[in-house]
Amino acid sequence: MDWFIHRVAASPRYSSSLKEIEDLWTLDDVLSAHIVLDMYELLDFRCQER
Amino acid sequence: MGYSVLMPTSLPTQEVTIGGVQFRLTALGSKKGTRVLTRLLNLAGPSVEALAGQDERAVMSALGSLFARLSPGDLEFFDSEFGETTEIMREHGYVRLAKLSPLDRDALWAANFGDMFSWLKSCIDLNFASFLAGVGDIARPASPAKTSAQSP
Repeated sequence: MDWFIHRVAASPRYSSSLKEIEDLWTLDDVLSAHIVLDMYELLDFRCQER
Repeated sequence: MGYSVLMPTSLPTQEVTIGGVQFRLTALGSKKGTRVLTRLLNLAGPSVEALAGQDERAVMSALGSLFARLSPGDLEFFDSEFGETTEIMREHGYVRLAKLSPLDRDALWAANFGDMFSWLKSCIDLNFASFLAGVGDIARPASPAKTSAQSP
């Protein structure tokens, strides 16, 4: 399991398929998506804390 | 829910001229990119930080020592992976490097290993420059905070 790619593919925040992410996204694109997902997770966590 | 603005539909390309031959490089997709980067990092080992340095000479030096350690299998691996995403200009337009006949490949690289390494370096730059720059930030120790002199 390639968690690096599957995390983005499994996220409801992105609609690209696993195949599209594997073939049409660069490593930089996936890294950027991780940063975005990290940010959303942090925001969700802070909202739940309130 | 989807954010189409963040969804790439094509891979970036870059044109370079090496040894008088025009190359068009296309970035690897993330799956292949991950595989190639993993192999590269395994090979580079401690020189990863130098690879990630801002100094072009340091990068070339690190790549030079990396290439010196390449086994025939490593070379074949990188040649095969990057060859699939590299095209070279011929009389009738671009031709994929991986599709060249063994004779044409020999004519391109034989006695031109410097050009071959320049091509590999260009491929690495296109695919991993941002990542390596990030590694550089991580690998370089943070500069110590300035402290004012204190008397005992």
